[in-house]
Amino acid sequence: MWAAWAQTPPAAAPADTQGLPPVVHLSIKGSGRLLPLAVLDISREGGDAELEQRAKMVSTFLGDDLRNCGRFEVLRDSLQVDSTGFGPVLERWGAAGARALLRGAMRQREGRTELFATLYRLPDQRVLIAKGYPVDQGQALEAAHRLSNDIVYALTGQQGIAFTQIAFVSKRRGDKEVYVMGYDGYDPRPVTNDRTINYSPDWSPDGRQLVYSSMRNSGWQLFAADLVAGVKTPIRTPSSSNTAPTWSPDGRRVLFAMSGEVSTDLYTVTVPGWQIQRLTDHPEVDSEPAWSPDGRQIAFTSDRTGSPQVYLMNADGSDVRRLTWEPDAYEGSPTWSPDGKRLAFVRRGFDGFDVVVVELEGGTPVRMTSGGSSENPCWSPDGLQLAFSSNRTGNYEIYAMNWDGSNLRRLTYGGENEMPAWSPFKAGTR
Amino acid sequence: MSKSTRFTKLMLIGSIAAASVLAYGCGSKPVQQAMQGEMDKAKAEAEAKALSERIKTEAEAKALKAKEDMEAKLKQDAEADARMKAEAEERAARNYETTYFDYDKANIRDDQKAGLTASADKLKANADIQVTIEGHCDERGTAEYNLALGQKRADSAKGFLAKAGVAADRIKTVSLGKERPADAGHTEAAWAKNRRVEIVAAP
Repeated sequence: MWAAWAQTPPAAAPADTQGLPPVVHLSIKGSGRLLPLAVLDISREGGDAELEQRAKMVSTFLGDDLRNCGRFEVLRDSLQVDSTGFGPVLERWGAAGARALLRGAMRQREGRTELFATLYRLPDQRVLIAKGYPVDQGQALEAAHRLSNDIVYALTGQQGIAFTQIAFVSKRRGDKEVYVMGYDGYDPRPVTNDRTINYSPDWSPDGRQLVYSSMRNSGWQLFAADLVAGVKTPIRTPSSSNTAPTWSPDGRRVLFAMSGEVSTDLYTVTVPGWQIQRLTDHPEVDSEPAWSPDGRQIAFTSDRTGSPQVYLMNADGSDVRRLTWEPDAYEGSPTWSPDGKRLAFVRRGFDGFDVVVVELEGGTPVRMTSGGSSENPCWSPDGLQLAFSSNRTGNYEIYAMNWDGSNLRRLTYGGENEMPAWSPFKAGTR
Repeated sequence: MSKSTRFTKLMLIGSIAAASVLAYGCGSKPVQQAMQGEMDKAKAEAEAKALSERIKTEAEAKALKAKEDMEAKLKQDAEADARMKAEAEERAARNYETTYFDYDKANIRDDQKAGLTASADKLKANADIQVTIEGHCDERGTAEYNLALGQKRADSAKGFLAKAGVAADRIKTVSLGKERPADAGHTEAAWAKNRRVEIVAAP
């Protein structure tokens, strides 16, 4: 997987295109408006049943990627191009309102199989992508991810999330271990094998490490797991109760909750170096901190008014202020959208918690989930989606959705899966 | 009936039968016969008496042994009882009452103070014991907030014990948040049982 993302062009695209001209000026903002994208069935030049099988696989993976990137309304077309040529097809789709059309053909050359993809912008029919993707044995998912990311970049100028990963905690082997899986739920693999309770994984900004809290040495201790080197380093602190860790945006420090003599407060620790700095000092609980993407602010949960509420403060601990003023609300687990404009958090409703999103520029929190208890929301690195855990089926499973609540899908099946953390665009795994 | 006793009885019956067959078989010479009969009879009687005495002795020995066995067993039972009682007392000395908390609170309720005071007395009476206080929460809070709340409850109980005279360095604390509910239910009654601290002997 590591090699896969490294090769994914165009990796240079920044998440925020401010100051950089996008390749095409199709404006898509938020997830409220989806871009209509026509996708023709993948054709094949000759070949056998195996080639057809692989074409079907790529087609399925690609369809999922395009739908689940949260940007497109995928319009399927089973049309086969006949002798009249391809022009009328493009014209018809252009007239129907599709903003782009994807055409793919499987072909075999010198013993290798590839998917040749052509992406047309509509209605002007300009070719944005004309490129071959190797789809030899075992490459179908990777080919779909690469093409999907190329399409996202060609049409929006932004990076796709097809190679992102989701870290989570699962009880599938009996204890609570940290796992990592693809953003689509494929290929889950264990990070820890501690036979204890592990909690709260969070990605380093370079996508190479996970920090988490573990009971493996009787108290709660923080560890940094290097996914590439496969090494786990304990993070030294003066307490035996270190929880809810999260990396600073510059990757140099970990922000976490540590309990002292009186209560649990927020601290940072440099990694490495282990220099501790105290941020809050209150007799009631402060926990679940989240750093704003620009590093200037921190959101957290505090019990200082008698029930858990979401608060904001400056990164040095000054200017603590309450986020919402809902009477009797029970809130927690705040997390910033990557552009820093929104905060997702949980608020208790009738059955348990629901994920709510609030615009920080002012606005009322909007509930985005319903049914069961939905907890621990986290944003995709492009800010278009939220993953969370929910017990709506009776057991905790990981779900993802567009941040407005649409396109909800389940990513895990069985074994109690919780505490998802969406990786940055690059995520290094073994 | 033991094997040896049964064997003795069979021998007795056998001897009497043999004696009568012998007497019946010698009827042709009356005097000799009568003398022989007397002798045989006396002999048989003596034999029977000896045998019956032997049986009586054996029965007495057996009764004595049974009595001794019974006494030994009673003594053994009494010892076992005493041992169990001592063990139960030792367990009780290490068995601490669970302390319960109000929703989203970590202060020691008035109705929970007697239990914790009893735990403090036990700890003071057994100065060699180290304990861990585990803090627990009901399922309604968020997972990470609950770890902090459970820790606060454990610290609160530790503070109470320390104030009651238990050396603080004998007490460790740990929070398990909502990971280990005492009652798996989803009712207020279950939640009330889960908002708790438990004192356990340190391994």
